[in-house]
Amino acid sequence: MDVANLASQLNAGAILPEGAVILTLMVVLIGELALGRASAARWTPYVAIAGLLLSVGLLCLQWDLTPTLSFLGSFNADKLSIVLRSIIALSTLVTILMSIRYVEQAGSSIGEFMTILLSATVGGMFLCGAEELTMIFVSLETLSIASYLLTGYMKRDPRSNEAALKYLLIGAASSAVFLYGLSLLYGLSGGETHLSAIANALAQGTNHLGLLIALVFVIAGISFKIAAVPFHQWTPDVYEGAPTPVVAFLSVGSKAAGFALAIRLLTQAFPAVVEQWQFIFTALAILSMVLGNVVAIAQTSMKRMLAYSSIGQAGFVMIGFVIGTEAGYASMIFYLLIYLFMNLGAFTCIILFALRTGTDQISEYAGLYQKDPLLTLALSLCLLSLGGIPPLAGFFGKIYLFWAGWQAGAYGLVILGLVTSVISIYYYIRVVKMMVVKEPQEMSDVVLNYPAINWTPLGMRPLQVGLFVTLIATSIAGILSNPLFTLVNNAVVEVPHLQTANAAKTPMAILPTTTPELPAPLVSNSDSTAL
Amino acid sequence: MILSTLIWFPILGAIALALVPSRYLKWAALILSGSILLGSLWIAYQFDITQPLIQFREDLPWLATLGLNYQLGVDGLSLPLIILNTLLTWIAIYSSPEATERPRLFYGLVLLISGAVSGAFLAQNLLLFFLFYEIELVPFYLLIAIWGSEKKSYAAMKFLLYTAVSGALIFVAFVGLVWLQGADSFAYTALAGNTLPLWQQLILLAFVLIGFGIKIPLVPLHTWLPDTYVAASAPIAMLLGGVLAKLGTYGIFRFGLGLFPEAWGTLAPGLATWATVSVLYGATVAIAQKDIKRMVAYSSVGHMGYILLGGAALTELSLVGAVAQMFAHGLILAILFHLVGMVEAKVGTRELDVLNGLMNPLRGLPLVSALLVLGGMASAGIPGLVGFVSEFLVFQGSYAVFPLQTLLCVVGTGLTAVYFVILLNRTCFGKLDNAIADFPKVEWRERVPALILSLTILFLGLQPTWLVRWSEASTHAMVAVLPPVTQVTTLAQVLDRE
Repeated sequence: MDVANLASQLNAGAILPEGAVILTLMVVLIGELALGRASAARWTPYVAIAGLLLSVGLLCLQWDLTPTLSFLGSFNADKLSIVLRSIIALSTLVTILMSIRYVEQAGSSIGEFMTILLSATVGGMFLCGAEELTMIFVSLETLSIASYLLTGYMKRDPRSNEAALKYLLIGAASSAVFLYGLSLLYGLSGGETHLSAIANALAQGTNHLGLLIALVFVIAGISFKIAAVPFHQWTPDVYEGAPTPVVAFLSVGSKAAGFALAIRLLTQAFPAVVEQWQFIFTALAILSMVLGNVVAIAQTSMKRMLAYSSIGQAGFVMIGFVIGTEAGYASMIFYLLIYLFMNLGAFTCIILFALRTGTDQISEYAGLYQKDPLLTLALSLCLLSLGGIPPLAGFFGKIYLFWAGWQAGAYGLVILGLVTSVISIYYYIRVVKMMVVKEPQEMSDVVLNYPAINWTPLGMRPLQVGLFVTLIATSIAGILSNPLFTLVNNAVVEVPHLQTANAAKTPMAILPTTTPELPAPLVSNSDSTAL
Repeated sequence: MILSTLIWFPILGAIALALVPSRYLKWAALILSGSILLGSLWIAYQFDITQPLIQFREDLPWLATLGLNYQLGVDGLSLPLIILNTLLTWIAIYSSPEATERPRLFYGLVLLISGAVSGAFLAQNLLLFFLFYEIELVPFYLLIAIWGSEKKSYAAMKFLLYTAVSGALIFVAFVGLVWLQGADSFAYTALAGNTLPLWQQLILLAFVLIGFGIKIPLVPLHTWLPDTYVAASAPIAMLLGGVLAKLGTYGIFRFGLGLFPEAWGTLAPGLATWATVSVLYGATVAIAQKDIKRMVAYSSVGHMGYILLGGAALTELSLVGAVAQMFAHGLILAILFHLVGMVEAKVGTRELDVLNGLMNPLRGLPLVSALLVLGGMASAGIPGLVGFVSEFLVFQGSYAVFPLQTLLCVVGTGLTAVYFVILLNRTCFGKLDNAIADFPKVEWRERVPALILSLTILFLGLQPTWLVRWSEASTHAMVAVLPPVTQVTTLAQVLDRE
């Protein structure tokens, strides 16, 4: 294989967006080393923001290119991966907007923080397109290790240390299990590492039990990442101890990466056991929706409440995943996109409140409307959107999910989703009640001593921008969801293996999906699973 | 266009109130709500009463993937309710006290509700209806929780959760219908006249009935009502009982009767019995109350039963009566809540045992008491007032089909008279205790809402054509497509037919 041929096989252009992020990361790191922490803090955040915007822009440019496998088949830059990578890059972008002031006020270095956060982003973005076992594991570990570091970033805060240690121990164990699952796949397929090659090899094999064990191990690893019950044990403690911007990233960016991994790995490598993985994920979805939403009611800390609510939200997203229809995948990704704005919006508000008052307790929000109407409005809208109240974005996201679920015949899941949404309204509205309904005389002490609103200190402007962007997106993304959903739908339609999973499971799909000439190995898979 | 105005004018106005100086807030809100009232009257003027179909259609594509399009229209069923909504919004804003705290939020939320409720009445797309139906949830929660009286927080949360459950049930019914029917859109016209097997219709109808039954509310789904109505301030109670409950009855007629006529016919005897239970329960419990606001709240439970009875009987007359009863009940409940609120504001109590002799011309509240008597009479169905017209039509239309249930409901109106006699006797008559009779004066402008409502009640009572002519063509068309109820009376027959 000569060099020219190799270069054409590499298709290095496919990872230009990641390249932009890596370049930014290095500029930020070296800039801080060269110019010192204080002066670098003035411009590195903007470099990081610009780099992420550039990365999203490059992703948009890639939209119309014909998807090609790059790096000898280990990275797939199809539209699905473009959408998911954009979600991760955007979540980092909003996280940086909200973290500058937070890290600054805590007296830590913003440059280092952003370097680690951007590494996590790179890992997550690669994970979205990874189609090869080594690639998957390396990018997953990049994301995970960076996340552990971020969790422990407030090194003087014992709770942050505790959270980091817990996260590291459980995360390392789950990585080991996941890796063991991958090694089983490698062995069962006779030494294949590319996902479609594995599927191809497994379709002819008969070793069902081994495959199931591999499946269970892999799902355990993924569920850890998306914090699905019962693999959620780390979430509340880590969310409570970790710096709030990190929590925001973990609950959106990291979770989106987990779902990206789930879509690619499960639908592509396990078409032989579609029924089984859909069954396991149905159970996970049920448990997550019920436990996440019920336990959130009892929380007194805002961060813990959002931790449990994010478990519940992941449960809703899993509805779209398990039904295995095109509309299901599309509505799932659409929900992730909506969830990005509303959840990060809520976190931006919490950070703003914590910066001004130094607390996260729900009871301390009492009477906030008097002192800070903008924050009250923004947090109320984001929480109501999470609860699925129209005409906010979350309502439409849920409608898409439930409608897709119902069309695929998952009546039980949809009804459970509706019931748990009603429960979730209860705890979201509790916070709104605290802020809006309480009389001036019932105001909490911290709100009584609320500082004058001042947007001038370093990092407050970006926070304000983040607040407005997420607020506007949460308010109108639902009403204007037609172009967005069409975009996501196009991304899903173009991925062949999502349709085979679909055809094997439910022949009565919504639209009569004409599946024209599928690649040869995939046809044989769908035949074997259709039996 | 005019229909969209009814929705968007108040909603955008609610946002625009943020910019109005606080001195002019009430004026601005009054002008906004007054103009939508005029708008709805103008629609009534333009409305062709001989035409049973949907008029003033608007149809814009929105989210085609979901089958959710912006489809509006008005017919004889929704027109009276639209007018009721805009009228009561204006009155609620007018009658809210000058000293309302946080007026910007208050008027904004009331206008928002008005727009959302109009949207729900006008929506010709099931998902659009559901969207508007859910929008009023949080504003009402806040209106009860912030401006309510004692136990407001508990009552508001109870209201919120019940309504959210009701929304979930309705959503299941809608989605189920569209899926079973295999339609690609939630448009009402595409779903009416569906050809589902009877058992599927029955299941979906059950979801619709329970969902809207919570909203109306019907016994035994009514437990949120007394708490909520009592905790809410007078203008909000007016909107809750006058307008919001009508969303439930409207929903049952439009989406229960209209979409599943066959199943409705099958269940009709059961529905009539259910209605009777509601009527008798509401009336007897009202008799036992010691709190006049709570009494009025329970009277609402009873009166909603007549509407369901009229719907169950499915004759042209009973349906016209039911629609008239929706309008009449809205007016009557509004005036009662308004006057009870006035009594509470002036006298400082709602306890039957404390109140006495308010009719006293010098030191009492003579005009308020007189209008309260009128409201009580209208509610008890005394001839010459609007309540009589609608109840008479319902009973006249239903008697031939369900004689027993109708007779029991007539007994229910008798019981209504009993508790209103108790209420009026204790509150208005008797000797006024001089020790406590030092009430603030009732200003003329405070009398305006009650006078408007009582004149409307009186006028429509004397000239009932103005009340019923809007809905005659539409209800006629509704009955025309229905199988006569009397043929199928028991479930056994249904099963035989299957």
